[in-house]
Amino acid sequence: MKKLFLYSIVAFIFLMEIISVQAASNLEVGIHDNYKEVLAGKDIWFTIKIANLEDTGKVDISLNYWISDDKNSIIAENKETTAVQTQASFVRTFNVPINAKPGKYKINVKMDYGDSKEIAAETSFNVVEKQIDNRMYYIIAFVAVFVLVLIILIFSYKKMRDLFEKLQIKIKVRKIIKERELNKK
Amino acid sequence: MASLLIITPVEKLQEKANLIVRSFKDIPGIYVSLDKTQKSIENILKKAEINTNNLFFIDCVALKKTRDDVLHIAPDRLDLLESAVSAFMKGIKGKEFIIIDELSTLLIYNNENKVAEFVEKITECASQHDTEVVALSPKTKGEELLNKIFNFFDKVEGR
Repeated sequence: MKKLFLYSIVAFIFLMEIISVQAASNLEVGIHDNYKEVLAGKDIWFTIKIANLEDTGKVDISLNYWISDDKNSIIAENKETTAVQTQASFVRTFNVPINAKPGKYKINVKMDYGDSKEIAAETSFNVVEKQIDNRMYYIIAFVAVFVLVLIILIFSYKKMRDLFEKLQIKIKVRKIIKERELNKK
Repeated sequence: MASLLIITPVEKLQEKANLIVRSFKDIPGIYVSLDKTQKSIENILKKAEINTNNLFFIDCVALKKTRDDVLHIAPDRLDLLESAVSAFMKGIKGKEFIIIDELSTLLIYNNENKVAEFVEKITECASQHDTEVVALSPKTKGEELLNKIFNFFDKVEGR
Protein backbone atom coordinates (compact mmCIF):
# COMPACT_ATOMS: atom_id res chain seq x y z
CA MET A 1 0.00 0.00 0.00
CA LYS A 2 2.81 2.30 0.95
CA LYS A 3 4.71 1.39 -2.20
CA LEU A 4 1.65 2.08 -4.30
CA PHE A 5 1.22 5.47 -2.73
CA LEU A 6 4.86 6.30 -3.38
CA TYR A 7 4.55 5.18 -6.99
CA SER A 8 1.56 7.46 -7.42
CA ILE A 9 3.35 10.50 -6.04
CA VAL A 10 6.38 9.95 -8.25
CA ALA A 11 4.19 9.35 -11.31
CA PHE A 12 2.42 12.66 -10.75
CA ILE A 13 5.74 14.53 -10.48
CA PHE A 14 7.15 12.83 -13.54
CA LEU A 15 4.09 13.60 -15.59
CA MET A 16 4.48 17.31 -14.78
CA GLU A 17 8.14 17.59 -15.87
CA ILE A 18 8.77 14.67 -18.13
CA ILE A 19 11.46 14.56 -20.79
CA SER A 20 10.64 11.84 -23.20
CA VAL A 21 11.72 10.50 -26.43
CA GLN A 22 8.86 10.05 -28.71
CA ALA A 23 9.28 6.64 -30.25
CA ALA A 24 7.64 5.30 -33.36
CA SER A 25 4.15 5.99 -32.13
CA ASN A 26 2.03 5.67 -29.02
CA LEU A 27 4.95 4.82 -26.75
CA GLU A 28 7.03 7.19 -24.73
CA VAL A 29 9.60 6.58 -22.07
CA GLY A 30 10.81 9.39 -19.94
CA ILE A 31 13.19 10.06 -17.07
CA HIS A 32 12.74 12.97 -14.67
CA ASP A 33 15.58 15.51 -14.58
CA ASN A 34 16.49 14.36 -11.07
CA TYR A 35 17.33 10.93 -12.38
CA LYS A 36 19.21 11.93 -15.47
CA GLU A 37 22.40 11.28 -13.48
CA VAL A 38 22.45 8.44 -11.00
CA LEU A 39 25.02 6.62 -8.98
CA ALA A 40 25.74 2.93 -9.52
CA GLY A 41 23.74 0.89 -7.03
CA LYS A 42 20.94 3.44 -6.85
CA ASP A 43 17.44 3.26 -8.27
CA ILE A 44 16.41 4.96 -11.46
CA TRP A 45 12.76 5.87 -11.91
CA PHE A 46 11.17 6.25 -15.33
CA THR A 47 7.74 6.45 -16.87
CA ILE A 48 6.28 4.47 -19.72
CA LYS A 49 3.44 6.25 -21.45
CA ILE A 50 1.18 4.48 -23.86
CA ALA A 51 -1.32 6.49 -25.86
CA ASN A 52 -3.64 6.28 -28.80
CA LEU A 53 -3.71 2.54 -29.13
CA GLU A 54 -5.52 1.59 -32.31
CA ASP A 55 -8.12 -0.69 -30.76
CA THR A 56 -10.84 0.88 -28.73
CA GLY A 57 -11.25 -2.01 -26.36
CA LYS A 58 -8.91 -3.46 -23.82
CA VAL A 59 -5.75 -4.77 -25.36
CA ASP A 60 -3.26 -7.15 -23.87
CA ILE A 61 0.25 -5.78 -24.16
CA SER A 62 3.62 -7.16 -23.34
CA LEU A 63 6.18 -4.71 -22.07
CA ASN A 64 9.89 -5.43 -22.21
CA TYR A 65 12.20 -2.88 -20.72
CA TRP A 66 15.88 -2.99 -20.15
CA ILE A 67 18.96 -0.93 -19.46
CA SER A 68 21.77 -1.10 -21.99
CA ASP A 69 25.21 0.42 -21.91
CA ASP A 70 27.01 2.27 -24.71
CA LYS A 71 27.93 -1.08 -26.24
CA ASN A 72 24.27 -2.15 -26.19
CA SER A 73 24.96 -4.80 -23.56
CA ILE A 74 21.95 -5.39 -21.34
CA ILE A 75 22.70 -4.81 -17.66
CA ALA A 76 19.18 -5.03 -16.26
CA GLU A 77 15.92 -6.29 -17.72
CA ASN A 78 12.29 -6.77 -16.88
CA LYS A 79 9.18 -8.00 -18.61
CA GLU A 80 5.50 -7.76 -17.81
CA THR A 81 2.10 -8.17 -19.45
CA THR A 82 -0.92 -6.08 -18.80
CA ALA A 83 -4.16 -4.92 -20.36
CA VAL A 84 -4.46 -1.39 -21.64
CA GLN A 85 -7.41 0.48 -22.97
CA THR A 86 -6.46 3.33 -25.33
CA GLN A 87 -3.81 4.81 -23.04
CA ALA A 88 -1.89 4.09 -19.90
CA SER A 89 1.03 5.35 -17.91
CA PHE A 90 3.38 3.34 -15.74
CA VAL A 91 6.09 4.30 -13.34
CA ARG A 92 8.81 1.76 -13.12
CA THR A 93 12.19 1.52 -11.46
CA PHE A 94 15.43 -0.26 -12.06
CA ASN A 95 18.25 -0.67 -9.63
CA VAL A 96 21.37 0.32 -11.48
CA PRO A 97 23.88 -2.49 -10.85
CA ILE A 98 26.56 -1.54 -8.34
CA ASN A 99 29.28 -2.48 -10.81
CA ALA A 100 27.93 -0.24 -13.57
CA LYS A 101 30.76 2.00 -14.77
CA PRO A 102 30.23 5.73 -15.20
CA GLY A 103 28.93 6.55 -18.66
CA LYS A 104 25.89 6.86 -20.85
CA TYR A 105 23.13 4.27 -20.59
CA LYS A 106 19.75 3.77 -22.22
CA ILE A 107 16.40 2.63 -20.96
CA ASN A 108 14.78 0.73 -23.78
CA VAL A 109 11.13 -0.20 -23.89
CA LYS A 110 9.44 -2.52 -26.38
CA MET A 111 5.74 -3.06 -26.42
CA ASP A 112 4.11 -6.01 -28.19
CA TYR A 113 0.38 -5.84 -28.72
CA GLY A 114 -2.37 -7.03 -31.05
CA ASP A 115 -1.35 -9.27 -33.92
CA SER A 116 2.43 -9.17 -33.83
CA LYS A 117 2.49 -5.40 -33.48
CA GLU A 118 5.54 -3.93 -31.92
CA ILE A 119 6.70 -0.49 -31.00
CA ALA A 120 9.76 0.67 -29.13
CA ALA A 121 11.05 3.72 -27.37
CA GLU A 122 14.20 4.67 -25.52
CA THR A 123 15.68 7.36 -23.41
CA SER A 124 19.14 7.91 -21.98
CA PHE A 125 20.69 8.70 -18.63
CA ASN A 126 24.15 8.82 -17.13
CA VAL A 127 25.76 6.81 -14.39
CA VAL A 128 28.10 9.13 -12.56
CA GLU A 129 30.82 8.78 -9.99
CA LYS A 130 30.22 9.81 -6.43
CA GLN A 131 31.45 13.35 -5.98
CA ILE A 132 33.54 13.76 -2.90
CA ASP A 133 32.77 17.02 -1.23
CA ASN A 134 36.27 18.35 -0.72
CA ARG A 135 34.98 21.16 1.40
CA MET A 136 34.27 18.72 4.21
CA TYR A 137 37.84 17.46 4.08
CA TYR A 138 39.19 21.00 4.22
CA ILE A 139 37.04 21.78 7.22
CA ILE A 140 38.11 18.61 9.01
CA ALA A 141 41.77 19.30 8.23
CA PHE A 142 41.47 22.87 9.44
CA VAL A 143 39.81 21.83 12.70
CA ALA A 144 42.43 19.11 13.26
CA VAL A 145 45.29 21.56 12.72
CA PHE A 146 43.60 24.12 14.95
CA VAL A 147 43.16 21.61 17.77
CA LEU A 148 46.77 20.43 17.40
CA VAL A 149 48.08 23.99 17.53
CA LEU A 150 45.94 24.66 20.59
CA ILE A 151 47.32 21.60 22.38
CA ILE A 152 50.89 22.58 21.50
CA LEU A 153 50.27 26.13 22.71
CA ILE A 154 48.84 24.93 26.01
CA PHE A 155 51.76 22.62 26.66
CA SER A 156 54.34 25.10 25.54
CA TYR A 157 52.73 28.01 27.40
CA LYS A 158 54.24 26.92 30.70
CA LYS A 159 57.61 26.35 29.11
CA MET A 160 57.53 29.74 27.41
CA ARG A 161 56.43 31.39 30.63
CA ASP A 162 59.34 29.77 32.50
CA LEU A 163 61.79 30.83 29.81
CA PHE A 164 60.49 34.37 29.96
CA GLU A 165 60.77 34.49 33.75
CA LYS A 166 64.35 33.18 33.62
CA LEU A 167 65.23 35.82 31.07
CA GLN A 168 63.75 38.51 33.29
CA ILE A 169 65.82 37.26 36.24
CA LYS A 170 69.02 37.30 34.18
CA ILE A 171 68.34 40.83 33.02
CA LYS A 172 67.61 41.97 36.56
CA VAL A 173 70.77 40.34 37.94
CA ARG A 174 72.88 42.03 35.28
CA LYS A 175 71.29 45.35 36.17
CA ILE A 176 71.93 44.86 39.91
CA ILE A 177 75.57 43.97 39.34
CA LYS A 178 76.11 46.90 36.98
CA GLU A 179 74.56 49.39 39.40
CA ARG A 180 76.61 48.03 42.26
CA GLU A 181 79.78 48.45 40.20
CA LEU A 182 78.80 51.98 39.27
CA ASN A 183 78.07 52.86 42.89
CA LYS A 184 81.47 51.56 43.91
CA LYS A 185 83.15 53.90 41.44
CA MET B 1 86.64 26.29 44.20
CA ALA B 2 85.53 24.64 47.44
CA SER B 3 82.04 23.82 48.56
CA LEU B 4 81.11 23.40 52.19
CA LEU B 5 78.05 21.99 53.92
CA ILE B 6 77.67 23.04 57.53
CA ILE B 7 75.30 21.02 59.72
CA THR B 8 74.71 22.75 63.00
CA PRO B 9 72.07 23.09 65.75
CA VAL B 10 69.32 25.55 64.86
CA GLU B 11 70.31 28.03 67.57
CA LYS B 12 73.80 28.31 66.17
CA LEU B 13 72.85 28.66 62.53
CA GLN B 14 72.92 32.45 62.35
CA GLU B 15 76.15 32.59 64.29
CA LYS B 16 77.74 30.29 61.73
CA ALA B 17 76.33 32.35 58.88
CA ASN B 18 77.82 35.52 60.38
CA LEU B 19 81.18 33.85 60.69
CA ILE B 20 81.12 32.72 57.08
CA VAL B 21 80.22 36.17 55.75
CA ARG B 22 82.83 37.81 57.93
CA SER B 23 85.48 35.39 56.71
CA PHE B 24 84.82 36.45 53.13
CA LYS B 25 85.70 40.04 53.86
CA ASP B 26 85.82 42.25 50.73
CA ILE B 27 84.78 39.36 48.52
CA PRO B 28 81.39 39.76 46.83
CA GLY B 29 78.81 37.24 48.01
CA ILE B 30 75.38 35.99 47.08
CA TYR B 31 73.22 35.53 50.17
CA VAL B 32 70.29 33.20 49.52
CA SER B 33 67.98 33.73 52.47
CA LEU B 34 65.40 31.00 52.88
CA ASP B 35 64.18 31.48 56.45
CA LYS B 36 64.52 35.22 57.07
CA THR B 37 63.81 38.31 55.03
CA GLN B 38 66.68 40.23 53.48
CA LYS B 39 65.90 43.12 55.80
CA SER B 40 66.20 40.89 58.90
CA ILE B 41 69.43 39.32 57.69
CA GLU B 42 70.98 42.65 56.88
CA ASN B 43 70.07 44.03 60.30
CA ILE B 44 71.55 40.97 62.00
CA LEU B 45 74.76 41.28 59.99
CA LYS B 46 75.04 45.01 60.60
CA LYS B 47 74.50 44.45 64.30
CA ALA B 48 77.38 41.99 64.17
CA GLU B 49 79.37 44.75 62.48
CA ILE B 50 79.63 42.90 59.20
CA ASN B 51 79.85 44.94 56.03
CA THR B 52 76.95 44.06 53.72
CA ASN B 53 77.96 46.30 50.83
CA ASN B 54 79.47 43.37 48.97
CA LEU B 55 76.42 41.17 49.39
CA PHE B 56 73.78 40.48 46.77
CA PHE B 57 70.58 39.25 48.40
CA ILE B 58 68.13 36.72 47.07
CA ASP B 59 65.12 36.90 49.37
CA CYS B 60 62.92 33.79 49.28
CA VAL B 61 60.77 34.87 52.23
CA ALA B 62 59.40 38.32 51.44
CA LEU B 63 58.11 38.17 47.92
CA LYS B 64 57.22 41.84 47.75
CA LYS B 65 59.93 44.08 46.33
CA THR B 66 61.77 45.95 49.08
CA ARG B 67 64.80 47.25 47.26
CA ASP B 68 65.83 47.49 43.65
CA ASP B 69 69.00 45.53 44.24
CA VAL B 70 67.27 42.61 46.00
CA LEU B 71 65.87 39.68 44.07
CA HIS B 72 62.66 38.13 45.38
CA ILE B 73 62.08 34.54 44.32
CA ALA B 74 59.46 32.12 45.63
CA PRO B 75 61.05 29.11 47.40
CA ASP B 76 59.07 26.66 45.26
CA ARG B 77 60.65 28.03 42.09
CA LEU B 78 63.98 26.22 42.24
CA ASP B 79 64.40 26.72 38.52
CA LEU B 80 64.32 30.51 38.93
CA LEU B 81 66.51 30.34 42.02
CA GLU B 82 69.09 28.36 40.10
CA SER B 83 68.88 30.84 37.21
CA ALA B 84 69.42 33.76 39.58
CA VAL B 85 72.38 32.16 41.36
CA SER B 86 74.00 31.17 38.04
CA ALA B 87 73.44 34.67 36.66
CA PHE B 88 75.16 36.19 39.68
CA MET B 89 78.06 33.75 39.42
CA LYS B 90 78.54 34.55 35.76
CA GLY B 91 78.03 38.29 36.20
CA ILE B 92 80.29 38.98 39.16
CA LYS B 93 83.88 39.43 38.10
CA GLY B 94 86.58 37.61 40.00
CA LYS B 95 86.15 35.57 43.12
CA GLU B 96 82.82 35.36 44.93
CA PHE B 97 80.98 33.18 47.41
CA ILE B 98 77.44 31.99 47.83
CA ILE B 99 75.77 31.26 51.14
CA ILE B 100 72.50 29.33 51.34
CA ASP B 101 70.73 29.88 54.63
CA GLU B 102 69.15 27.43 55.45
CA LEU B 103 68.82 24.55 53.05
CA SER B 104 66.19 22.36 54.74
CA THR B 105 63.59 25.16 54.42
CA LEU B 106 63.35 24.26 50.76
CA LEU B 107 61.83 20.92 51.77
CA ILE B 108 58.67 22.72 52.87
CA TYR B 109 58.02 23.75 49.28
CA ASN B 110 59.78 21.08 47.24
CA ASN B 111 60.39 17.38 47.36
CA GLU B 112 63.78 16.01 48.37
CA ASN B 113 64.85 14.98 44.92
CA LYS B 114 64.15 18.43 43.49
CA VAL B 115 66.16 20.07 46.27
CA ALA B 116 69.01 17.60 45.82
CA GLU B 117 68.97 18.34 42.09
CA PHE B 118 69.07 22.05 42.82
CA VAL B 119 72.06 21.68 45.17
CA GLU B 120 73.87 19.56 42.61
CA LYS B 121 73.38 22.19 39.90
CA ILE B 122 74.54 25.02 42.16
CA THR B 123 77.68 23.20 43.28
CA GLU B 124 78.43 22.19 39.71
CA CYS B 125 78.01 25.73 38.45
CA ALA B 126 80.14 27.06 41.30
CA SER B 127 82.93 24.64 40.48
CA GLN B 128 83.04 26.06 36.93
CA HIS B 129 83.32 29.63 38.20
CA ASP B 130 85.47 31.19 40.84
CA THR B 131 82.80 30.61 43.48
CA GLU B 132 82.80 29.10 46.94
CA VAL B 133 79.55 27.58 48.09
CA VAL B 134 78.52 27.38 51.72
CA ALA B 135 75.21 25.75 52.60
CA LEU B 136 73.83 25.77 56.12
CA SER B 137 71.41 23.22 57.48
CA PRO B 138 70.10 22.49 60.97
CA LYS B 139 71.01 19.15 62.50
CA THR B 140 67.47 18.00 63.19
CA LYS B 141 65.81 18.69 59.86
CA GLY B 142 65.96 17.06 56.46
CA GLU B 143 68.17 14.12 57.30
CA GLU B 144 67.14 12.26 54.16
CA LEU B 145 68.05 15.28 52.07
CA LEU B 146 71.41 15.64 53.75
CA ASN B 147 72.19 12.02 52.99
CA LYS B 148 71.53 12.73 49.35
CA ILE B 149 73.57 15.90 49.07
CA PHE B 150 76.65 15.10 51.17
CA ASN B 151 78.53 13.94 48.09
CA PHE B 152 78.00 17.18 46.20
CA PHE B 153 80.15 19.09 48.68
CA ASP B 154 83.92 19.06 49.02
CA LYS B 155 83.64 19.30 52.78
CA VAL B 156 80.93 18.58 55.35
CA GLU B 157 81.10 20.03 58.85
CA GLY B 158 79.14 18.74 61.83
CA ARG B 159 78.07 15.45 60.30
